Amino acid sequence: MAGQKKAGDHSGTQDIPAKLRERIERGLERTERDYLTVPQLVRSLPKRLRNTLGIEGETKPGSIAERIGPYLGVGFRIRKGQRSLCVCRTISEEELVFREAARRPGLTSKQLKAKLPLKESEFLPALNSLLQRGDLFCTLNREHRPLVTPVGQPAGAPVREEEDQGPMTREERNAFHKAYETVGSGRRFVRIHLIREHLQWPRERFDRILAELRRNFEVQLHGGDPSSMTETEIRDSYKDEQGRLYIALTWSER
Amino acid sequence: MDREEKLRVLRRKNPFVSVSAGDPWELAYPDVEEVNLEPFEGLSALIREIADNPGTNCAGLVLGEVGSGKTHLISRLLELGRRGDPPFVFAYVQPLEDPEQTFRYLLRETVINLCRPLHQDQKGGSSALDLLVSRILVGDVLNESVRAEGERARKTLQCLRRDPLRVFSMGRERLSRLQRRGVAFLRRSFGDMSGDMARALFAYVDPETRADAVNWLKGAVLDDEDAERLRVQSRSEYSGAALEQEARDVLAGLGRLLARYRIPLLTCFDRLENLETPEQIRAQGKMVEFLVDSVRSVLPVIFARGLQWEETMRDQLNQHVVSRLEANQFVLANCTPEQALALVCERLRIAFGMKVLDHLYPFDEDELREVFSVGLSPREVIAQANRKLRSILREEPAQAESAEDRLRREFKSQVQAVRGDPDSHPPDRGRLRRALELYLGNGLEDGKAARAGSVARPAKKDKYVDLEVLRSQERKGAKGLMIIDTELHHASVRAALKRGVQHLEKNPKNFVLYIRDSRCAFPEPPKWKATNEMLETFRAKGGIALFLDPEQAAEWYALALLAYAVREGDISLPDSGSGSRSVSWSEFKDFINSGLRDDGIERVAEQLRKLAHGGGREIPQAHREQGGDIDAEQTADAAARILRDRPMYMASVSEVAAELPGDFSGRGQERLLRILKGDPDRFEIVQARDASLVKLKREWLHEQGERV
Repeated sequence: MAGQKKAGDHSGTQDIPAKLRERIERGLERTERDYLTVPQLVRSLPKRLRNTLGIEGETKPGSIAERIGPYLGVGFRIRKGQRSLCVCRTISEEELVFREAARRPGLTSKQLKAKLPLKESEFLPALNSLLQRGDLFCTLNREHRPLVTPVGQPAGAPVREEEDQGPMTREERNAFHKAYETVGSGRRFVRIHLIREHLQWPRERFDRILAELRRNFEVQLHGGDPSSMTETEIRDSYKDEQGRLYIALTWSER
Repeated sequence: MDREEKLRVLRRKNPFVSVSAGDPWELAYPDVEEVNLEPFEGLSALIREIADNPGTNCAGLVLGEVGSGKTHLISRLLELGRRGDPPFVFAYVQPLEDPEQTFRYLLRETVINLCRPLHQDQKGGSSALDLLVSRILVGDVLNESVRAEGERARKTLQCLRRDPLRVFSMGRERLSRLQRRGVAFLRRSFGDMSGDMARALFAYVDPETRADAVNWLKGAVLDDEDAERLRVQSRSEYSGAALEQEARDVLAGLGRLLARYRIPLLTCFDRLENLETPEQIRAQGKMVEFLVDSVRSVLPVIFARGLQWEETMRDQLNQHVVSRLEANQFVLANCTPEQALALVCERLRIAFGMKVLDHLYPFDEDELREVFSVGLSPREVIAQANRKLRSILREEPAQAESAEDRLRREFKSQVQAVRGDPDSHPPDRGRLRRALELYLGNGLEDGKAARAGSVARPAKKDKYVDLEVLRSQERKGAKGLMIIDTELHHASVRAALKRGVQHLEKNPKNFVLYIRDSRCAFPEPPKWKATNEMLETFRAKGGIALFLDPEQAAEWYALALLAYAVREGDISLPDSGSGSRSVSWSEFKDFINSGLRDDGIERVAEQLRKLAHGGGREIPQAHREQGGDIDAEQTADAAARILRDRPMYMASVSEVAAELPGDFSGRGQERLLRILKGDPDRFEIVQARDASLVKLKREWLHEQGERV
């Protein structure tokens, strides 16, 4: 069965991916970004994990990136940032731009680019595409510089704090849907634990988004037979407030 | 009806207790049209398309997880056919056990379904096969024959056209006169239909030959005498491949007939979670492919769980089949709050016996709407309503029914269903094997299992052997065979027994159980002379033959069907947290282990234990102790059951003693003899030269209402 893992095989190097991804998630939450520079990440790693990965004080970012690369899974990738290599969520350039613009509306396009690990040749087509589609719009400031703002947010509105208890944002919904499609590879019934694994979101955030998608009838949750699943897979599926266990979901077409 | 009265009604009968649709042949619960409307309308449209164009090649796929309403949807479609909108007939096919017999199984299940009464409430009412045969007779055969007859015959035909089924009430003589013409008509109109099939269809008209005709149509190998009576070729010399080919030919022939008379056949394949091996899954694919490509007027529809289909089945099937199925794929949806409220409303309306129900008292509609706002499956909706109602009525959260009790209740009800409708559960080697495997695989406690050794399907393909019992601790090197036989032809039966004899001759420590559903006749001498002699040889070599009477066999079939239902997640229990949950497979195994103690299937395990322990001569200590408690009446009853399965109802006292539970070996035989002598109305003791024989009296059997 796809993605099935044996229970109880968490020892030594087998723990690395989970621990590493947990550290990355924490760092991203703290910095409210979709990427961390490699030195930032290394600073946040516990000594034991650094030793296991063979990272010492003098190891260069390029070598560090090579060592951690194999453990990142499908949720993260290495990108070349403005001044350093970065560990970035595996999302499209357009999505990176949109999410950053949503977090910090009212930045000029240059300021926005400076906050992203994207080359000029990646950033401009992504921004233009979002503007053409009408996902972002521009207003001009007194210096006639364009300020980029997502549609639906008033120009010049303060940066909205991302709260775990707040309603689902458009990018969260899109990220969830994209994960469903990526993990499902054309299937309609997709296992929830695989989507959770792919997104690598904190548990509360994932459950909150899933509950909201369900309440909006965007997804349907299905029980199914958990007897052949490992304990971890069951835990990483979804239990609602009533204690009902759901192991798969379908994206609604209505 | 005032509020107090409503509460009284609900206290008397809670309409939300059951969350399973149960038998697809009965629409057990009121229908809410909007729930799963799209799949229902989609499939109805496909049936209409096939009614208009019987040559349309299509299939359907319905995906839904546990509790999403698969079985209810099947019932709803069946109801649509009964209403005649459009008129169509229906087959409900459960999982295939033996991939070697794919097409024989499909044919058999199809014909069994075609023989069921079209309307559930009419026991013995007209079946789909009646409908088809009457259409052939009225629509074509009589139509031709009255041309040469007078006005009266034409008037009769006009009457019959209005109600073709009345053709069966025509005199037998008249019908037999039509037979030759009918066969000629079928051969002429359907060039590739065999003469045997045409003759079997017309033998169906005659009540005297109907049962044999149905057996032939099911693909059975008839005994020579029965084949001769039907004037069909004997299949006794056919190889397995030839039997499979003939099954395909008969199915294709049925399709052509259904197409001519514009009667679509909806074939629903359900409970496919029970297909365990790739061979079984591929065989399922072959059935669908064949129905789509080679049988006109049939719409095969697979009902499966979404995950199982996408992760397991889909990749093991021919892409041609997959594309056919997925072209008409429907996913069962959870209920919107409005649909969920309508489901609750319908159940309340039926409980109150009202035509219209305006409000949901005693429920608070807003509160329910909030609970249902997340989109629950139909089963979850009912379970939630049940929970709420219990709290409104201030009842305990859930009845303390254990999984074992629930399974026992379901098992008993399944046994009753099989006993009540034996025609729909004909002798089936695959299901008997499944039941035996389940029982022996899960029912033996550790100690007993050690005595019996392990039970498995034969490592090498063996036509006759169903299960092998490997080395036991006490009898190293010994191997036991279980031969399940449902063949009707004496040569096949003899060959199966011979396989047992050969095994016993190979090693005297070996043992063999020959098990036969007694509905498959085993005529006494002088009929089947050589086969009866083989049975005697088999017994003389130490083989044990078990002839399961219909009551015992019903328990075996019920166990296999219960296993299908558990795998499907169809047996549910109230759950204090989520409202309801499905009984798990491990709970089912526990039930087999502890819940079947008093049932007929236990007899096999008993035999097995004896054989494994010492060729039936020694009995485990535990049973020796139990034996002391068995009183004379119980012993006499058990002896009667053993003798009922014996030719001439007779066996040596030592043989009966060996088969009885308890210690009747050695001196115990004398005690047994005393008990049997003490019941002269039932038993007759015959003193032979070297042994005492005991015979069950026919008069006593007559008194019990049994046909002898």
